[in-house]
Amino acid sequence: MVTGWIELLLQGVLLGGLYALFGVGLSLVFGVMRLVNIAHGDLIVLMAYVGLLLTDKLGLGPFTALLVLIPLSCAFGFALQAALFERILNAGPLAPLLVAFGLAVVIQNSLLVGFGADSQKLTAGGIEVASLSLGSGIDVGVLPLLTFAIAVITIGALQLLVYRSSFGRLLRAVSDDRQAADLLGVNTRTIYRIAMAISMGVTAIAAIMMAMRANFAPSSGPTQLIFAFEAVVIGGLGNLWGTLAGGIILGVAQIAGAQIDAAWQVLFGHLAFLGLLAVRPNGLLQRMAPE
Amino acid sequence: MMSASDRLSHVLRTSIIAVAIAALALVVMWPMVGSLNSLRYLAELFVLIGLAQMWNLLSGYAGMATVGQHLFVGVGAYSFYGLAVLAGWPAPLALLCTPVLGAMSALPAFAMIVRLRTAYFAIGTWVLAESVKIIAAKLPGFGHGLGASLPVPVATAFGSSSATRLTAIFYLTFITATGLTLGMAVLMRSRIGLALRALRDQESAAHVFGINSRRLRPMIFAGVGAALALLGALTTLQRLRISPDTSFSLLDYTVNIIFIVIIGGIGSTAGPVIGAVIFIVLRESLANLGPIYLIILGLVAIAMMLFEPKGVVGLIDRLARLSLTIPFRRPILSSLSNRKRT
Amino acid sequence: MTGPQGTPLLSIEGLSLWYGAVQALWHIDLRIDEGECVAVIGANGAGKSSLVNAIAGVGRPRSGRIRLAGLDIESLQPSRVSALGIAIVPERRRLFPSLSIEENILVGAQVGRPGPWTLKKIYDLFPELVPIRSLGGHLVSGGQQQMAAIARALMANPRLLLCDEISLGLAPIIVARFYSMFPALRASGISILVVEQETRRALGACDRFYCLLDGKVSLSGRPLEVTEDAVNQSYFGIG
Ligand SMILES: Nc1ncnc2c1ncn2[C@@H]1O[C@H](COP(=O)(O)OP(=O)(O)OP(=O)(O)O)[C@@H](O)[C@H]1O
Ligand SMILES: [Mg+2]
Repeated sequence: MVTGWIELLLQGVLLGGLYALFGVGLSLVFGVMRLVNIAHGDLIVLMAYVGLLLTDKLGLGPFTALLVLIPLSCAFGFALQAALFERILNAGPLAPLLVAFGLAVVIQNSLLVGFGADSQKLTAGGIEVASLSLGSGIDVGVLPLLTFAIAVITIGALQLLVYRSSFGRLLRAVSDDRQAADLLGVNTRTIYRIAMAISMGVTAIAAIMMAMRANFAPSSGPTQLIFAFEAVVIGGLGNLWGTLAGGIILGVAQIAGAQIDAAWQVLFGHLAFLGLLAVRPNGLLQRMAPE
Repeated sequence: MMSASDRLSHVLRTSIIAVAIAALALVVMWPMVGSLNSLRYLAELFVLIGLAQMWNLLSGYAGMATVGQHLFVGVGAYSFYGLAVLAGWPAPLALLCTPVLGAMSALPAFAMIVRLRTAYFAIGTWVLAESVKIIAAKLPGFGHGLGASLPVPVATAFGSSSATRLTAIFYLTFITATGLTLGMAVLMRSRIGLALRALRDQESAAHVFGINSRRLRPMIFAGVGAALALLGALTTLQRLRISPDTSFSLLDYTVNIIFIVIIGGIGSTAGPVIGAVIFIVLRESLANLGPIYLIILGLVAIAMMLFEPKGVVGLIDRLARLSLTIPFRRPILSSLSNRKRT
Repeated sequence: MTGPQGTPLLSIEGLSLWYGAVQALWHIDLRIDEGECVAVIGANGAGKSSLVNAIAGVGRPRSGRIRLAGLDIESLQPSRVSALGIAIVPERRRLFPSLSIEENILVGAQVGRPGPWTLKKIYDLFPELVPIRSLGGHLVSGGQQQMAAIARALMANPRLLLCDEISLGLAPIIVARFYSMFPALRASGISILVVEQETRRALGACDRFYCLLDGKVSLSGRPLEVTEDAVNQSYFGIG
């Protein structure tokens, strides 16, 4: 009985790793350029389909595919920023939101045209079903564990990049005050492009992990966006570890809901989000800044 | 002394009013001459106009962009079903009560997400909508995930033959759309309209107009919730059924509506009307393209935001200025819809 | 030093700049020679910041030329301008609040120009920044913030340093200290353009000055060659 509960809790925590991976890309782009990329979920699904092409057509394993997908996705993000978002960022808060919204619909329906409405899954040669015994009868899936580990490593790496590197310094400077950064000769346009590229690199990781774990279809994007968004807001805007914490809370709430009824999995996540928003409007953790 | 552009916009105003009166007469007469199918399409157009006006009010004027307005449409549909079918109220009374329930559900919704700013507010409304949709599928008596049809007595409450029923719906939706459009025009000329615009530009400026901005936003939100709920109930009368997926449809009541307003022109009263007409025409002529139609719509919307953020209304202004040698101090169409009282 | 016939370090000819439908600068002509200190004075809204920002590459002039050592720079991106050796201490300092003082200073170094300035030299110049180096930029006193903003500009190893109202809101003793650094900076090969509303100090520290009034140069010359009355008249536009 108790081990059953511990197993469920663990499942929720590990699921949170995936949601954190969804969230950090969204959070990074918002933090740097105040763009809420409503197409983020659809970009995750798009990259999952590209991953599917790489494994199916080129016969790559999912992790080899990931190594190819990350640079592809980064380049795509860079181009997307240069071709689309940077033209609209200065036009007030509504315009970028709506452009991203249009992009989301275009991606969704392009996937529908290209791949059909059927749901797909990335086969990972057995690790999807493998599980690991932690002793005293507690088993966890290898794939969720791996996803969680990758999430922790990714967030740790981003944390180092943002708070310890000289590029991260510029990233934070631009995020604080773009005009001042411009005045000081920081090439803010390039910083934005790189930030979008990094975000899309993380998105590629999130996409492959999602595609191995669950079925996805062209219409899956909005759901992933909402999960990403919930993880980010629960954790506190501008705090990367907070997004992991937010993802974990979301994951645990969803697994708890799923025990009552499969349809309540998502609802419990939403309720946890709304409930937390009511008690802690700024999320769990504060935006990181010098003491 | 009237300047040339004032004179011109005066002429334009007069002629637009004349056209509007002629159009009104035509609409009133239409059910006697038009086909049943045309009644269906027009009623749908009127609902779209109403939905678009409301999204435009929140996003274009009040600075509260939402991606979750299907929430209130669905609430309206389910309240109508609950009152008319489950509680057995007379259908017209149930219809009249849906806006009240819409407004009542909008206030707690607003309270929950008010702390989220701009785009986060938008996604917050979406999360709410999805939550309520899941709950709606669990409610006893509403047919769960599959939904339910309106029983015959309710379906025929506004007319026993399809001709009378469609005529009644035609008038109801027309009155609603016209009411909302005129209401928007009046609202935007009022103190509230000025305060809204000030609020959009700068959070603290609204008090200049003697308007309490902390109360203004929830009031607007509740008003929009009420109107959307009414439109949801009207849609239910058109479709004769409710279901979580159709009554809370993200695509029908939010995605398409946003496209309508972007294409027509954000922040103008004429925009949603023009956008809705374009939308219906495009949809009917591109119907066989399936998803490609939405790709085109998305691309057009992106292009609009990049090159003409004021939509077709902005385009018309630009063309009007180009075709006339008189230098305009004010854009024609937006001056008609947005003229500030001076 | 450049002689009268040599190319000036900075030369501005006929510079006009608009914000939408409003013209902020009208046919500005201005010159700074190598090693010079030049003051731009003027009242609130005269266009001083618009001018220095345009030199730094922010805000596109509608017409006119800005040349740095003969090279046209008025259409370059700000990042290119700073790579060529123009650094700015912006109005109201504009430190980045989520960066520590030291990180703020290091942002200046991202320009990547070779030169003498290092963190160590900065801390020699402003020892009081050492104990607060890891504090957030908005948590320290105005004087310390201004030191950090100057340090940030110096880290870019500029040939021309633009100082936009470095005395704003600071105690006279601190302002005096900033101005007392100028001779050493100039000796190390940095030319300086200071913008001030408070004329006396700026005129005292600089070789030449320009007075702006409503976006136009209303008076220019050497401080000792003009009377206080003439300055006041062209500053306020009276008389
Ligand atoms: N971003 C802007 N948009 C529109 N107008 C501006 C902008 N910046 C400055 N202005 C206008 O341009 C004129 C010159 O402003 P500027 O800031 O250059 O003056 P200043 O001399 O630096 O004033 P201060 O002493 O207050 O710093 C002013 O009338 C100001 O209102
Ligand atoms: Mg200034």
